[in-house]
Amino acid sequence: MPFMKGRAAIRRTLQYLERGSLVLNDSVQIMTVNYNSGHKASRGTYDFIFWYLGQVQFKNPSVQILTFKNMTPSPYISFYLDNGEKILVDADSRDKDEIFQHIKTVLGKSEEDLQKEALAREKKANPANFGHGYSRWCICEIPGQIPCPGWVPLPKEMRGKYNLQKKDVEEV
Amino acid sequence: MCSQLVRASQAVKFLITEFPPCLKLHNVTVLSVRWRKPRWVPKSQSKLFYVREPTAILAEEYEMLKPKYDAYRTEMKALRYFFLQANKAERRQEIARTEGIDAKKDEVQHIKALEINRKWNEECARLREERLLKEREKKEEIEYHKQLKKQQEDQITKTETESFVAQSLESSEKFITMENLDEEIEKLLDSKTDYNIGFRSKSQKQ
Repeated sequence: MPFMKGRAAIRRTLQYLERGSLVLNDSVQIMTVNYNSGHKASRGTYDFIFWYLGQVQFKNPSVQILTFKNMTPSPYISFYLDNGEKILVDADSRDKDEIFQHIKTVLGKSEEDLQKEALAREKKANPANFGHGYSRWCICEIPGQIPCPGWVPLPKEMRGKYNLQKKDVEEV
Repeated sequence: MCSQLVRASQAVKFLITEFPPCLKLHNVTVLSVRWRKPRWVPKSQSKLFYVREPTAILAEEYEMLKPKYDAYRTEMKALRYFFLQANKAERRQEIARTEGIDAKKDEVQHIKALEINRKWNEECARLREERLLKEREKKEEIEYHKQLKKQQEDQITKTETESFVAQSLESSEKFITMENLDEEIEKLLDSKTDYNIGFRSKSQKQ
């Protein structure tokens, strides 16, 4: 079985992508990276793209990420937010890890936010939950359970009208 | 036709379940199902060119009713819009409450983030200026050395050409012109070169 093809093919493995730690804010829509080839000051940006871009896109599938080569004299990364705002992050003569850490500080979701989201996802996936935001609204949707009283009236022993008010359940 | 109806109603009964009493209105379950003529059957001959008479609209009645209807519809529209907005706002609040979103906190965080970014950009600008300065100095040095080299080469060329010119001037005096042609010929004829030479071991003339 041959080795995986391409430069640093590890970047394309699922394990590597899942280990990405930069989750951008929900307000970020577009991320644009400008850099130059054969330019010492762009080296950090190039490395950032080479090593981290796959991870970023994997963790943020709804963010549009673009790269532009040799269009501006200086490398930079810009973010376009959903309220029309544009945030420019200069990347001249910066290392890839510095850039990554800075973006995480400025536009990344904090650890607590990510934990909250993970918890919410677990709650949603739990089949024991019903109602708004879950996969089923009511337990009556499940076969074997009591049918929905909106379609089939409950037996009188289960109705408050009979139990509490001692009123006889009348047919319409 | 009766049998068809019976068959159709039996077929429908097979399809639908018995609805609970609470859903029946005046003991009649009303369904709209096409169960006599299928939809692909063309219009009947008697109904092909049927044109209905438009309903008579009394002018006075219309004039009286129209503003009332307009007012009513405007009010209903306004109410609907109001409730829609109210519901939307409520829903937004509900979502924010359930997901723990705090708009103020987000804004404060955003401003902080912009401040951090501004400082970072300033630092980057400083680094860029340093780099550009170094590049400029390097360029200037290279230019200077180039100029120097060019000057030196120019000087060498100049001296060479001058010496060549001087040599040419010198040798031009020995040129054979029309005036001293006869004299030179006489000289040559008078002179005698002897090629009868013997070479020694070091190839010297005797």
